[in-house]
Amino acid sequence: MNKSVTDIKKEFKHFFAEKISKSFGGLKAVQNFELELDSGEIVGLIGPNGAGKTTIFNLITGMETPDTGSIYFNREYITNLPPHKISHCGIARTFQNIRLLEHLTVLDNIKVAYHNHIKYNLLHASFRLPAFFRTEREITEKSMQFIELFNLNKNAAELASALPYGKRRMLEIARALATEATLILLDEPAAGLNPNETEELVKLIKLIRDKFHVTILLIEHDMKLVMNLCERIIVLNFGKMIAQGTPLEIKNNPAVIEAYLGTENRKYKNAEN
Amino acid sequence: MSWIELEGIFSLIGIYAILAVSLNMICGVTGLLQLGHAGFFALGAYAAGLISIYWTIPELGFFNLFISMAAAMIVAAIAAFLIGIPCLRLKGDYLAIATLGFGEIIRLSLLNITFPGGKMFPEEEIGGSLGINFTEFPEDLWPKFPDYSAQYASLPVILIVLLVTYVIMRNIKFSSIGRAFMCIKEDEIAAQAMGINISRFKILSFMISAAFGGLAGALFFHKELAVSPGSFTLMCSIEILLMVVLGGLGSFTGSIIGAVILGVLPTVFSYFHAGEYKQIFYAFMLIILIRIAPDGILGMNELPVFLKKRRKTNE
Repeated sequence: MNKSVTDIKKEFKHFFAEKISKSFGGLKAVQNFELELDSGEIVGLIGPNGAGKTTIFNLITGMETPDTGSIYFNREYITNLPPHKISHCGIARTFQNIRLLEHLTVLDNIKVAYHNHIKYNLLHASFRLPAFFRTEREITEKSMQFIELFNLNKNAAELASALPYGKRRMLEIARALATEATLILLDEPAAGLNPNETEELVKLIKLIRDKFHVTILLIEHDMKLVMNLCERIIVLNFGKMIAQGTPLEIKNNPAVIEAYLGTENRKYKNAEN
Repeated sequence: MSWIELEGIFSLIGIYAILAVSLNMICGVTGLLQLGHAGFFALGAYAAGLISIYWTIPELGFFNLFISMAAAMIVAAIAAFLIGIPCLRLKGDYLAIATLGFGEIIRLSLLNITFPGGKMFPEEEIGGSLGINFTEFPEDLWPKFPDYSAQYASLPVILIVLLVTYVIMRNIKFSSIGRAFMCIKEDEIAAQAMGINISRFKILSFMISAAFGGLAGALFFHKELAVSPGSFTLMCSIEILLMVVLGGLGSFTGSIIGAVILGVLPTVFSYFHAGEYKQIFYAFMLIILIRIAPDGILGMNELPVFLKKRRKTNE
């Protein structure tokens, strides 16, 4: 029996996206994009503005459906599934513009993430049957652990809208992690953070990976963070993957430099020489 | 003012409080503007009325009320399910208009449908513009129960049902289901990313809200012993919504307070022979409310929690 390489990847890779494309009207946002992730990797997705990075996140999490191509996660075919089902499969994400539940407390924000793991139903909840208390106690304990891990203990009872910006980012990551996902997509986790907070974030992401054995795919514009943190980097321009490799390879890749700095720069350099 | 008059007023306030609490589930907690709550109120009242006419079991006496209430809740919940599937795909203003339309459809259907009179009114038809009038059980039908009256929903009964409704709603709000509802209100995209099936939970919220609206309808029928489509107009829906907004979107305690305030006002006005100024006062009250407390009296908080918070900020 002969199996093609893609068939093998579908079965054995933690995550595998095969030739996904998406266009909005005439704009080809993503073209023939392939992505494979091994369990426990930290992978960076970089590219200039409008390169299609967030569209790829939306395609993976089911917020948009790809025009062509297919996505496999843990051997399951997840293309065209609605977002909540993909979340059930174990993919969680954060958003570029933070989407917290502003009028709920920090603790409740994290408890919402346990939605997939609730073992009681409407009847238990309406009449406060024992199953309700058992499950609630369990998820409150788990949520408090995350709150401590992310240094939010002092703010646990505050409303999410009262948090400073850095802590809001942390809370969103904590919430994504609390869904007990095995693949976490972070959309610009360091945007708007000061250098100290960014450093903390790098440590925290590494800690999360080691402690919970999750795979992390992140979009980021902060090159220092990407180079420090990621084991593999994928560069995107105009919806196409133009390079992929280790941070060192990416740094010296001429195609990447061209995408970021433009060809003018090289001409200028040549003229100088 | 006599006791009987007062009992009537407070019973009606209790029924409206149940309506306001149930509407708050969909409007306040789940954040979907619903302008057709009177439709479910009407369905509940009619379901209770028809059940009483066709299937009252005299031996059960007072417990017939529970059969009526269960039937009213089931009918309203099924209607909400059927209406919810097409409606809840809409957002914001469009949803409000669609539910308003369905509320009117229910009322106009009830205006035009007639039902056979059953064993209580063997020769006539009931329904239509006169609705269901059901003053007393005919004595020749049940000679064993000579002074039998069907006005089961007295003030204490209504208050107990209100309390039970409030406790259930509050329990749902502070559970994972309530958190899912609030998550849908805050951010649908984040809710989906958390694994919440938003269309399913919207329909669930709509059904819970409608079921308790129907429950209020059953109590209304067993209190007044007469319903007609005229009492379930759009104004009725808007009045319920006003109670919810006044008390605070998302606060069940607030809804009860809102129902009491808006329920007592007309009586106060008529006591001073100034009934015609009621509407003007309503409008002024709304303007003042929106200026001073746009979130309503209690915001999203329930009463004991709210008091605790106040104390904390005062210190």
